Amino acid sequence: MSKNPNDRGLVITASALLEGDVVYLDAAKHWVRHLDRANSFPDTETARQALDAQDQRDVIGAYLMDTRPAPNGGLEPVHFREDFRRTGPSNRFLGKQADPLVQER
Amino acid sequence: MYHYTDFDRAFVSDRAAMFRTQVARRLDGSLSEEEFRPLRLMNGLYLMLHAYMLRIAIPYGTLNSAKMRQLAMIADRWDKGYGHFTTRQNIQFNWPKLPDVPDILEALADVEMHAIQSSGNCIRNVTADHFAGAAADEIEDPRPTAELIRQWSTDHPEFAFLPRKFKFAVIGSAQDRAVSKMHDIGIRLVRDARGEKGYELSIGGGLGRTPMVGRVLRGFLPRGDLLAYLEAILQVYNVLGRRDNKYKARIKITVHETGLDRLQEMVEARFLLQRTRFDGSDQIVLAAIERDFAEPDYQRLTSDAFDAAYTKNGAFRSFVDTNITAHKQPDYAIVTVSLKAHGATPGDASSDQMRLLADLAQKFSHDELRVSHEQNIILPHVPKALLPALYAGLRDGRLATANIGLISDIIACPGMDYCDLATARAIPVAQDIARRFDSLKIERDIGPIKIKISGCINACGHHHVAHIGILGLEKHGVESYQITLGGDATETARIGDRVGPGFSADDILPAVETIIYTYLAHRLDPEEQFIQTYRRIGLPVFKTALYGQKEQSRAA
Repeated sequence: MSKNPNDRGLVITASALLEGDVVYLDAAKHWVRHLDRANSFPDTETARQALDAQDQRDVIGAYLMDTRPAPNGGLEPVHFREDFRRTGPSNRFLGKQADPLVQER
Repeated sequence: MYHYTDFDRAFVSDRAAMFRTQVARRLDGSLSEEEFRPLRLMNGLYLMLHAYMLRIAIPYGTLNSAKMRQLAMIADRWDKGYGHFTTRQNIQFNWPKLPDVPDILEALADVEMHAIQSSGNCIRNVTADHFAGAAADEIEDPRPTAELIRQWSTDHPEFAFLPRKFKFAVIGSAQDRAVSKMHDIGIRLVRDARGEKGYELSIGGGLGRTPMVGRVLRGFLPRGDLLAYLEAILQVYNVLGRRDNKYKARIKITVHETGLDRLQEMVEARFLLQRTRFDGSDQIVLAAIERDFAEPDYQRLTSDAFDAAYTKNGAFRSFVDTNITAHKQPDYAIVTVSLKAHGATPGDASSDQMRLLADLAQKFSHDELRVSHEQNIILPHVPKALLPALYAGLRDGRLATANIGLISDIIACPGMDYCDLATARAIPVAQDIARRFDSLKIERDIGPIKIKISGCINACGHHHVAHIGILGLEKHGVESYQITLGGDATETARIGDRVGPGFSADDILPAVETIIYTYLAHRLDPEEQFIQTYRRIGLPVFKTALYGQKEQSRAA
């Protein structure tokens, strides 16, 4: 499979079993809560292999999402749906945006 | 109000206890997600964008103060201090944690509530006119019939795996306030030529990707035959329904593909057989249910306090003029409490607001509350003399917004702010429209109008039957909003007309403004409502206003 154009990468994401919260897979193969800590895969094949090999007992519905480099460093989602998932609802300050860990960024 | 029998109590408690063991087995790994998913959905537990979501049924939209207080307690203890009332008379909590859900279900069972059949391909929460039992124009309270259907359909083994979900609405008057024509089966209490009460049954209504208005399958059905007839319909549907294609599986498609006449023949034939299996015991159950819905013990108070407040207090007068509906008792009123303060999320109520509403219902409305499909709360039985005191209580709790039926009284589904299925946001669009027309100060001048917004084609926001319907879609990786005009959710139900290409998130508010100013410019007089003007002048005028203007702004 060819590389994604424009430095795009793929991140493995899912929902946590206990809270339903959005999680991402990091380089140490741990499920983490914030996109900044996620591991970016260069192509679908590598990402798919990592997903298949990953222990998914604590998560639901893992899939691959497209990312690109954020202007201020780190990663950002290509699709706006993933932007809501990593942030929280836009009508209330709840979810990840209200999480102190995100505020530290 | 209906109270659980020992049977109901045992059944609901057993189901909560059963779910506790299922959750435990999921958490210890004995159940995979694939195995657990149908079990959680049977108990109303969905997985949404940011968290789980628990959808709790409020049968025929009826609550008392104890139930409302328990919902407030659940919001505070296991969620984030609020709940969202939906277009199908449910309440949704957006942040429950899986290990807590069994406790929530137990807390619900304590107040005779549950989340059973609020998901899945089964008969869902039975809805009814939110003014039931109070409306001046009704033949009879539709809720005993709705409760009978709830009992009959709960855990009914034959209808637990239908081709697709199945929704009932029941009304008791000619005026349809429950969108019954857009339900799989809409039931209306009617009288025949001899004055006998019975039911008119509409079938095959529905919104979603293939919106259809329900058609009358049986003009008059004697009361005692209801369940036999419903079983006949569902048995025919169970056989004919398209299990091969999810998008063609609703009964509206069965009606469309089979033809109403042929379907009618099949149902009537089945009904003759089915009728012999009923021995009248369902009617004994119905009679007992009816006793539970006895009218309140009305108070007789002089209306002096009301008259004085109405004359002196302009804000109270506005509230009365928009939020009050005639009660069948002349010295009573039906009060609709708006959950649409300008800029608020339609249908959201904080736990404090829930507790206040519970207190006020207890004090002023014979301990009854209703949830409307329009995402507001109704206090159905308020003595007119107590309206000034009730108004003061609502005002102090920031719940006295006088906008019922006006442009800011918008239906909006959760959209992409919460929903896993959404293709765009709905809530911020509603917030922007409400704020904008509030700042323009022309809300009352515009008069009655229905704006309804859905964040995807599944149409939980009822956009097809709005005067101005807005459907949020995704186009080229951004949110895009399609407008329909002239829809109608009442007894003259009609699907709205699509105006043309969609509008971006930035352009949707100006587009709505253009539509409103076009209406204001063309209405014959201030008495002619938006929908009447639309019916008179038609789509092209609005189309020109919208797309002509778009071209001009591009050129500029």
